[in-house]
Amino acid sequence: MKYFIKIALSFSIVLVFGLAHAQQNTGLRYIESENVASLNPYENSSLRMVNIRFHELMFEGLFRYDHNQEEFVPVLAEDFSAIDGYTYDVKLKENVFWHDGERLTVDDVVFTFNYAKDESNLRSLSMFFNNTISEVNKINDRTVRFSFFNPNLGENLMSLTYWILPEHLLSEGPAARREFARRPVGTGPFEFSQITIQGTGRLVRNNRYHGKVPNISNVQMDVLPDIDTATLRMRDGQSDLLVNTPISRIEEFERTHRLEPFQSYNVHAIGINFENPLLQNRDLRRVLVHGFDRRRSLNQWFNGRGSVLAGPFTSSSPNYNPSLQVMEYDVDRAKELLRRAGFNTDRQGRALDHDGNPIRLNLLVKQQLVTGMSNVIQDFIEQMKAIGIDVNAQFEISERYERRLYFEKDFDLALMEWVINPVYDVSHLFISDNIYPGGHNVMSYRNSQIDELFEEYRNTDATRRLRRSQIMYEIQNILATDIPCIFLFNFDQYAVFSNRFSYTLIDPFAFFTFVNEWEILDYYE
Amino acid sequence: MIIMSNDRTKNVLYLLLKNAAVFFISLFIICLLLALVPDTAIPSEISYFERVKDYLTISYLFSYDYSVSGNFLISELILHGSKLTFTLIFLSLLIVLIIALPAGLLVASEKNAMFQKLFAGTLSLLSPIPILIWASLLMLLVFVFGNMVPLYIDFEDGDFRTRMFVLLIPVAAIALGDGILLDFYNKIRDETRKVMNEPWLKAVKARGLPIYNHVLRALLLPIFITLSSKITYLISGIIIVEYIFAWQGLGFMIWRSLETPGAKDYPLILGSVKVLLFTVFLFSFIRDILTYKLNPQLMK
Amino acid sequence: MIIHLNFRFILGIMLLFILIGMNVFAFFFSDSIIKNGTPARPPSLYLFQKVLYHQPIEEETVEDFFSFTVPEEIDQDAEELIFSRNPKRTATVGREYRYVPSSQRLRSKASFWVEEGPSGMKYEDGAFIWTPDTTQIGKYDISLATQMIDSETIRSIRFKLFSDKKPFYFGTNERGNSVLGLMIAGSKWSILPGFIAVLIAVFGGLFLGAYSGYNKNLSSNIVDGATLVLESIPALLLFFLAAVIFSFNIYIVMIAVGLVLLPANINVIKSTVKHFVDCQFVESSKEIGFADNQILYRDIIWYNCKPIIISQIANCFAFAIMVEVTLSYLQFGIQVPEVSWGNILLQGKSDIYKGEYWMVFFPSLVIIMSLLSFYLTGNGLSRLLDPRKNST
Repeated sequence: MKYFIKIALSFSIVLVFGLAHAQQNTGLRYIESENVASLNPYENSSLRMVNIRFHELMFEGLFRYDHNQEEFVPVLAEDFSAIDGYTYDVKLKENVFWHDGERLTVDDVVFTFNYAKDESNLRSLSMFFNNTISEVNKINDRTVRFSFFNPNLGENLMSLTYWILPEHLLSEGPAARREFARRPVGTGPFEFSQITIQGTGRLVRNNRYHGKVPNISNVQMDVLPDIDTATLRMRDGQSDLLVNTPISRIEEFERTHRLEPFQSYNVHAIGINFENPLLQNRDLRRVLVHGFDRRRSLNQWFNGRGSVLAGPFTSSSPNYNPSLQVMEYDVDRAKELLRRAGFNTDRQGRALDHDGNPIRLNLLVKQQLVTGMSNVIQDFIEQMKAIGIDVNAQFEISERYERRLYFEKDFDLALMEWVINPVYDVSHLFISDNIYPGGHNVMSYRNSQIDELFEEYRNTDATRRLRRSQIMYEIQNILATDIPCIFLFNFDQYAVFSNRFSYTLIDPFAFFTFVNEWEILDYYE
Repeated sequence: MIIMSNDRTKNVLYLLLKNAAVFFISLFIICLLLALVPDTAIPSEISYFERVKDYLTISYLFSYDYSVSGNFLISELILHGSKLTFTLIFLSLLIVLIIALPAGLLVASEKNAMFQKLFAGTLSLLSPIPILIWASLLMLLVFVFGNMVPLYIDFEDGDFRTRMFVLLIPVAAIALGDGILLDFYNKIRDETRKVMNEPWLKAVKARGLPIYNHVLRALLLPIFITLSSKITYLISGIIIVEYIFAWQGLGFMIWRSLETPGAKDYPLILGSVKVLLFTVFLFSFIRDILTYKLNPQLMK
Repeated sequence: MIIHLNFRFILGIMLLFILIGMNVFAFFFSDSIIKNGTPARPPSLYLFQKVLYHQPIEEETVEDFFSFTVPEEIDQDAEELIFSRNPKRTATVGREYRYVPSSQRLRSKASFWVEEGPSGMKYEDGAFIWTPDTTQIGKYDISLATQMIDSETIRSIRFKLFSDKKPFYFGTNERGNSVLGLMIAGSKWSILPGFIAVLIAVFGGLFLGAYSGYNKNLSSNIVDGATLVLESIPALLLFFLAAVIFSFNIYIVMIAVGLVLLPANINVIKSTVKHFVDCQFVESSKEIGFADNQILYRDIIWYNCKPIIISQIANCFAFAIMVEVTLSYLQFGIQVPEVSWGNILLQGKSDIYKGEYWMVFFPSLVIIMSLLSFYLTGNGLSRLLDPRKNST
């Protein structure tokens, strides 16, 4: 009895604190697991999601891609007109102000794109810009002319979604850039206020925002690398939003918080190295798929929040083939396939290859895994052992993992994770042109049919939607039967909100795109 | 030269140079090892020796810049981190001294033999428990019985009471773990016993004068020597201590920089290592000076 | 040699035998040690559950349907009636599970029943009893209710009950592996990697310390300098870098461990040798014609340094265990699916906040036990071999 009182008392103390906090707080406190890198979006050392989310609060681009409607929406631009397939004129919105009071002009746009194309800045982005945009020119005080290399409308407009930077603060030289990196200025719904050494970032509402002024008065980002402490803070009510919740920990929030799902494009798979002659045998690959109970792993470690995949597309991607059938777990079929392929089992139950040696496969894994994936790997190893195949997991730090995967091709199986942006295509993973040290087709997968189909897809005009879908369906069917890799899961993604918020629409990539429309419940204020 | 004519100065200089040489050579070895760490952000044209040279220039010259994140200067980060790290270390050693000093001095009064035996016995059973295990068990106990979890993040925003509460578990774990308390207690007890057997102290006691300031003065050097060796020990293990408690000191920053793929902050790592090595250098130099002052003939 | 067994030595040897036994088990029966059960099952001893397992029990009170006001007088007995004793959370197939909800006096004033539970669970003679059979394995949501005579209020509690074929005395982890099995399997990294560290630290320290203590030439100065440098490098950073550079190979890290422990050993041996090297018998031995090595090793070291070396060996093994646990805890040592004590601690760390303490508590005890075994044995053995020294 005393014990229950003690629990209730301490819980109520914490609750009172939390509530007191919430009552004074019309702001949003969210938790990230990593520190933000540079505050200048074009000078990061890596394109991590933490940075993209934080910058989305402060900066905006000319356009924005709405993943629900699958169309481009103008943000800082008012309109665009295509002169021809390669040249577009974009008209800028009037009366947009930077956070320091200056007006947004066409010079800012021109400066930003030249800055982004400069290779001394973020290299991976500058390569993309240099391959897509050939020229940016000022036409008049409100119009910019873009010249592109390819007439691909989707890709071209995508390049116009990147953030615009102020020319008056950045063009003066390295000292000005340093100052900007410490105090960034954008046009977005929130203004930068402070960042501390621990990584806590604070933003305040931009009252002169050109769109709907946000309901939220301030935003604070806390950095808690440990998921347990983050969970505790969410439970205590000291934070309102957990952005990167590992899917295996979602259950802890189910009853007390809002779970806002957003489309996830992550694909987990075990890649197969086709340079190993054993693995070129399709029956052996089928054994690997049939012998691994993916559904049970998904249910046990992730509570079924996701789906088992049969191909590289998730159900929310365009051109997903809904009639695709997942190869189910069937140990007997796996053993029969093993026998049919000519791999006998010895007395101890181990499978032997054609030379009489036991089959041993290396599974290359990156050291820092998504929470819960280590259990999936253990399941895989156990189930393969039950069939007779000895799988040995090798953990490497991410540098050495990439070197072994991309350059040395020193693996038999490798656990991989892709984030597939629906506007881009997945051909770079499967076409044989990409088989070279550093190329994305790390599996060395060669299939002339697939190559031809992807080529045809690229050459088919975007308006012929039916034909394009047909090609994609065909590709998925072939990949499902040919098994270039063991496709594992696509996990649902949730952001965990406290119940203070009633309307929280999020963007699957940039997250805070609609933050100015979020609503806080009144009785907490 | 005037400065070299004095034998004592020559010896002091020798000690200084010896410790400084140790400092620089350790830094050099760390640079050599750091250059072996695989890093994909470094283009493959840069050879191993160029990398070593790069790190050596960063560490030996004070050419610091903004950290990889670009938000703060390396010096700001290191200052902040060292404040936290040294708070932890010195606070724990202070607590250790507060416990060990009176307990060891009880030998002087020659009463409470039972208490001493009990204390020494418990300590020697508890002392092999490493800091990591103490930390896990303490966090477990505080959560199970107190239902509260002191988090580091409360330390930043909190007032004095919150800060003390957050510091409670780390300081307790460090003070109790790895035999630190036991070593201090043993040392103090042995030295007190040694001093008590000295004839001049017996004379002072026979006169009825207070002995404690004499005893304490005799204890200063041994305590300082143990202190310096424990500081070296704690600095060696600083990474794991700070990782367990998510304490954002120098060790945590080193660990975080080493494990982020693609954005390893070498100036930060080298700067933190430099500060830690400098602390070790300082304490061992002072220890050598004090030992020399006590026994000048040891320096041949 | 006077046989002077003391308590510490005996305790240490016993613990050491247990550790070696665990090692043997781990190596020869590695496949069948880890038993599988229901995931996250608490340890079976009621004492542990009562004291340490604070998984919240949900209470529900359903008031009288027809009255909306709080009763004026609160019946003291009614307050206490809410299942004043915590139920046991584990049950084993074939053994009776028994839960006595409250004291005798209160039980006579109320009726109890099972609202939700496995078939076969019932309230009889003052206790809830259930004997699970072989088909009833897994996690059950139990709801038990009580109602006082003359009252309309029904109070109930809900909790989770685990039933398995075997009584897992130390519980299971999230995969269902028994913690006892995991601890035994993890012990295989406790002794074997330590041998490399001992080889380098103790024997290297012996030879280098003896050499630098006996001679006074350039090489001994180099050894002194190297000792100083090795002393001041932060040890954990060195292990870290070794793990990262050599792909988490624990044996390479043990080489680094040996190097880090070397300076202390060298200093001790050196000071002992230096103490004796100026003695008369050394000069006389040289006059007679004994070789330097003979004097050094047979006369000085063998007679005086045995206890030192033994305690150094013990310390070395203990330190090696601690380094392995620390590195695995940081995810830079032994990786899954290999089991090691640090791994278990890492996986169990996040379960503390759910109240599942056993994945951290018992492995910690085993680590402490293994460290103690080395320290006590080393201490006791060194005291055995040199009873002249004062006990400290």
